[in-house]
Amino acid sequence: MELKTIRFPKVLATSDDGEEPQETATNPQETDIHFIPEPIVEEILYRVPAKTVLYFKTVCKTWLSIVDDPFFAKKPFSRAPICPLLIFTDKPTKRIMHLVEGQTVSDLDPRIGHNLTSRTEFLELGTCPWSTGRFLPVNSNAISCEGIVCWASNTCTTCGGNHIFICNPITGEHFTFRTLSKDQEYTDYVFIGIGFCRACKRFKILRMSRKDSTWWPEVLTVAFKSRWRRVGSGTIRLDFAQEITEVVYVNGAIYWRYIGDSPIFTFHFERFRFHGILIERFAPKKLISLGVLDNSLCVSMFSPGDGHVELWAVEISGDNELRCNKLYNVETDTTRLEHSGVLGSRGRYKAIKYLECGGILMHYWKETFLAYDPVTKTERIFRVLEHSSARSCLPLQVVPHVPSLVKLNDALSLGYP
Amino acid sequence: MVTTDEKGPLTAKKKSVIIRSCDGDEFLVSESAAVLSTSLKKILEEKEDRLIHLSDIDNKTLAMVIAYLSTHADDGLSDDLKRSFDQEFVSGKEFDVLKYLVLATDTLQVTCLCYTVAKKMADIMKNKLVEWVRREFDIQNDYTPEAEAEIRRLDAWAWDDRQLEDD
Repeated sequence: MELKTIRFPKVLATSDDGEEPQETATNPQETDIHFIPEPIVEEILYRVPAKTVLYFKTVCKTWLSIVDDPFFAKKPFSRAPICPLLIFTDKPTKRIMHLVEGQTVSDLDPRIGHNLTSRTEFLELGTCPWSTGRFLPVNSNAISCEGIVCWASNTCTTCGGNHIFICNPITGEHFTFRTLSKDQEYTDYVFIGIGFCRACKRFKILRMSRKDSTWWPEVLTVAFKSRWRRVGSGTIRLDFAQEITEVVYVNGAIYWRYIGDSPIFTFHFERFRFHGILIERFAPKKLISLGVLDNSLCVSMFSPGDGHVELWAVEISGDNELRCNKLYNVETDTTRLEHSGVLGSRGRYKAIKYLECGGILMHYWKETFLAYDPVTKTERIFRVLEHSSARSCLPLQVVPHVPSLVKLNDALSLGYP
Repeated sequence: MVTTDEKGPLTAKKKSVIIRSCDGDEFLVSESAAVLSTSLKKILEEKEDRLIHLSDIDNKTLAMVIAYLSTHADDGLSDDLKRSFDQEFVSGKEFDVLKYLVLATDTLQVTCLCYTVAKKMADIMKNKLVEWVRREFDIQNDYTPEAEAEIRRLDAWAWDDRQLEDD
């Protein structure tokens, strides 16, 4: 019988030809059977947290070149698809971000596991060279989309322009750009949202600015020499009298609410449409928070009389039909304590993601998160930041974020200003 | 029972292959399991060989890969069961064992096993020191101390409050 032999390709290559790059020459071990070929190293690195990937750049030059490759950078980390990003606002112009990576409770809870939290800071000072230091109020809700975080920065009283701040918290890259629309010179309130349009493979920015109680929704496709275009057919009531809160980007659309109001509003970046979502179940007395679960919007509802929290998947289909599915009834010691008044009703129960064991990770309150197991109906509450007591008093937003090493230039195809 | 002179998919399934490890041990594997490996499938398509010699995969590793292939070729098992088998398969294994496994999956081109093992390796590596990684992967540090410090400086935040292991 004839024998068929398969050998490791790498072993053949090093023994047959001497034209291997210098790494091989300096590393005699590479001919060893222990040597792991680059494509496998890549597969492994896709699966470690972003923080670890950056740390491993110093292993050797080959690993650095793997991590720095734009193709590697464009691929999100499959190990931690979505992570909570905690954004503290220190001064109006300073943001402190903590990314909490991990797929199990032991990854996330610093008391028992390893700390996979990374921290980065952004300063927006000096965004406008004509600034006199006075800024008009903006809606600075941060929004995360495909690894990029964006918010409306200062509106400068002197030049009247809006500033949009875009960053990648993993690489620390950031830039600010100033915009001024043709129709208006001056706005008294601005809200910025970012989304990704799969059809044209570009990021789009939604700007809603208010001037004399009139709203101007405009969209900019992030590309060279693109312009702001007015959107909104006026078919729905765009009565944005109140401040916008809880902005979240999911699957091609952004969703938000107004403070003290229960309807959810959405703008779809591919269909270019606004929608208002008002469901009977979303009674006004209910507290609502918007989160993400399994790539769709997850609405958490809690009313003081209930003793439980309901998680709903909400989606608007291509033919503009509203689809709501009740996912879970979260009933735990905490919800019961809140119901009975022992605990103040402070829980937001904002869904972030499914954990590896099947539990749901929710943002509960401040730096406190809640992991709920719907099968055993048990909960686990933990603080993700150990030594941040000094920051507890700062305003905090928790944003579901997909860590990525993508370079802003590659992602936005936009030259730096 | 399927008779020998009957020709059809059922008889094809019954066929088996002998795979020999580098230590000389032979394993009898059903063809339906062997073809889950792209490399073995190619060999079997080329020639009707019934004995395949793998000169770079040792006994222990080959036995594990074959157990994996046989489980995944079993139509009687649900996807859920296969998934939990995958979890069980890699849990508790030493990093060294995983290295041999991942190399074997590369040679045999068993993509899904490669991903499972890569994920387990990533899980082990996430809290390890650079020195540990260099040791385990047999990599020599080809940076000058200055170049290494520069890279660390650029990604300074990734070094904050890391509690790392070197075991």
